[in-house]
Amino acid sequence: MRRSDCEPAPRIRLCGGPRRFPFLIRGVAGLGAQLHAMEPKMNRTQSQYDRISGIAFLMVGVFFAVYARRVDIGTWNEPGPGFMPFWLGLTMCVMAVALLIGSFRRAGPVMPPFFPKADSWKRVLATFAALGVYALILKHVGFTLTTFLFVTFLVKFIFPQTWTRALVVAFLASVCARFLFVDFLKTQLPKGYLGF
Amino acid sequence: MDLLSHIALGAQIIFTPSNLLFCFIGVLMGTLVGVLPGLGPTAAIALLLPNTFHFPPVSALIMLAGIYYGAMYGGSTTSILVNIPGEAASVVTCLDGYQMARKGRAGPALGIAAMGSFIAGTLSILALMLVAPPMAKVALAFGPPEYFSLTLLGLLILIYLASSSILKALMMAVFGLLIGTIGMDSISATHRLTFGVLELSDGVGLIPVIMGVFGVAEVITNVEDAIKQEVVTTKVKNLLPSIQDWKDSFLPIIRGSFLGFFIGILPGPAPVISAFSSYALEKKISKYPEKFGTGVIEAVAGPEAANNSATGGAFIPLFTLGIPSNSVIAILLGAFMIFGIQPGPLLISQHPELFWGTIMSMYVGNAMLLVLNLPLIGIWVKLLKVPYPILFPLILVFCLVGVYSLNDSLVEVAMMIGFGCFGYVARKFRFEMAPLILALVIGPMMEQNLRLSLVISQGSPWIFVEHPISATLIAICLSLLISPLVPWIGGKRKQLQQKVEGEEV
Repeated sequence: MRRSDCEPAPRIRLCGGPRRFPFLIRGVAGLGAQLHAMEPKMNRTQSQYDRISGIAFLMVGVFFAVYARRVDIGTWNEPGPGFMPFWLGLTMCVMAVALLIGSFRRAGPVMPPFFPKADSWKRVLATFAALGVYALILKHVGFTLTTFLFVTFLVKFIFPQTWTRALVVAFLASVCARFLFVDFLKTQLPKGYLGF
Repeated sequence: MDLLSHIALGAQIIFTPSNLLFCFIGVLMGTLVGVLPGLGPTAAIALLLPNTFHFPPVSALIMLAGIYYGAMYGGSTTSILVNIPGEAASVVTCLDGYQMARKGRAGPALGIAAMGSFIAGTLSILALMLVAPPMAKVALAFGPPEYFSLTLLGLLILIYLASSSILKALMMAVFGLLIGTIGMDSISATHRLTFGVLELSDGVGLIPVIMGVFGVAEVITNVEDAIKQEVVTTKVKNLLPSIQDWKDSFLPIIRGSFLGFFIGILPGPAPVISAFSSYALEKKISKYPEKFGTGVIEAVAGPEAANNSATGGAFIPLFTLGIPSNSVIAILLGAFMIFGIQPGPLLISQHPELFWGTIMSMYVGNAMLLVLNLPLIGIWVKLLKVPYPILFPLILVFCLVGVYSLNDSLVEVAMMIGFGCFGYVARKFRFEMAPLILALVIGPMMEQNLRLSLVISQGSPWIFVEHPISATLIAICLSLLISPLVPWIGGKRKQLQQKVEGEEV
């Protein structure tokens, strides 16, 4: 078994956040815990999931089939650039409809909850946010410093470690990565306004 | 004597200090990413690829191939000591390998895994050497209709093995093909579906998608909840298996090697499937099948041999047809294109130094891996003690740097994050990523051959059944699609599904 059920789940504490906006954080977290407590009733079935994905992929199919018409679809004798996107888009629509019909015909097995722990969504969201911020500030702040901030944030807040640990790991990681990629492998990475 | 002169040519290439160094870096990186859970050979190759552009093509290929088979060695270490597969292909090794480690037999388990890998690796290179050149000659008879049918078959085999429903796997494949159509059309040079984004004119990059759906999505799944890491802490000793161990595992290794090689030739996640098949085979012919799962050495030796041997087999479609059979080979194919080498049946005759140099480097690399994995096992064990809360940010940094450095493009980084999100959610909805990746890889090739075939036949789709080779392939495709409806075969598919469940390319 990969995951432990007995260990208490580590919490994310966003810097300053809980203190400044206690009602907000506790409110949302409280809601999460409540949803988790109601889980046996809340768990969705496979067919409910299928219905959502059926609709999503139907839109994908329609989108491609419609946009393919902006370029030449061509004929069977001489297929144009729009040929594949158009027919594949239609195929996608047919399959999505088949999935939808199937989902109404039977309920399917009950699925495990979307997030295994009540506070999983916080860690997932925070990690995605960190990735997004990394991409946004990389060009301006420079590779070394961005990496330092990124690693510090993730080590400190996702599965909270001590500050010393987070800073030491981040320092070593950013300096080693800089040495490895920029100086040794000659990778072109942005230096940012600060020049390193 | 032709073969001997080719071997000599290959040896000349590998036994130069710089190529030996490239080979060493490759297998070292491979072992490293194999040991680390959540970072596969695909990510490592993607990371090193942009840095290989200023090397000679053969050196680059030697290094990239080294990563691929090196990862198979590394993956087994993590499986045996931590009970987490370091690599998807070593899931099976967890079953009995970890049990052996708990009984204090971690040494022989690691030893037989490395030795078995070495024997299987060597056998499969030998087979690759003998099979690839004649296969390439046959492949010369292939025209656009044959190529189209073959790529279609490859995609359908993977879909057939999908652990979720066939419909959903088909949808993922079509989605991959659709994404593959974005960008400039190769025949008419028209921009399509690019929406004015300059970066999309070359198409959606394979590497941002792979790093997203495998790298980022995997890490995100792991941060949902704390992973319990229990490294077997007893000192690893007696790495050399005893005579009895050898007696028990020699035949499984040989059987695993052959099984792995033949499964490796087929498109799809060959190392994973071959390891499962080998385990099933050993269990079936064993005198004591009930003991499987409690730490029997055959159950470690066979699958480990099979997954290594499959990596050799996987090179055959690449070298003979220019068709990638999985995502790692697909990136190698991309590397060929960047170096201006046309992959396909003429590759071996036009670039003998590339083919024979790579083959000979695999022998040398396998020997290096044996040294890296047996006496130096302590280093890898130390690496495994790095806790996940510290490891995962580093894995993400690797992914970010790998994608960014490819084209210095933040759009591709954004694509990686987007596909990471898609992969994470799609997995929860029970969609598999392997058909998507393979479809994205062979999509452009399929489209080109389909359109060329239709031009040749003046619009008649019957061209695919009028050519005999193509007709055979199409017949197999149809039987794959129809067979799940037949209860008896459908049952067999169910069994296979359960075995392959949850695994990636």
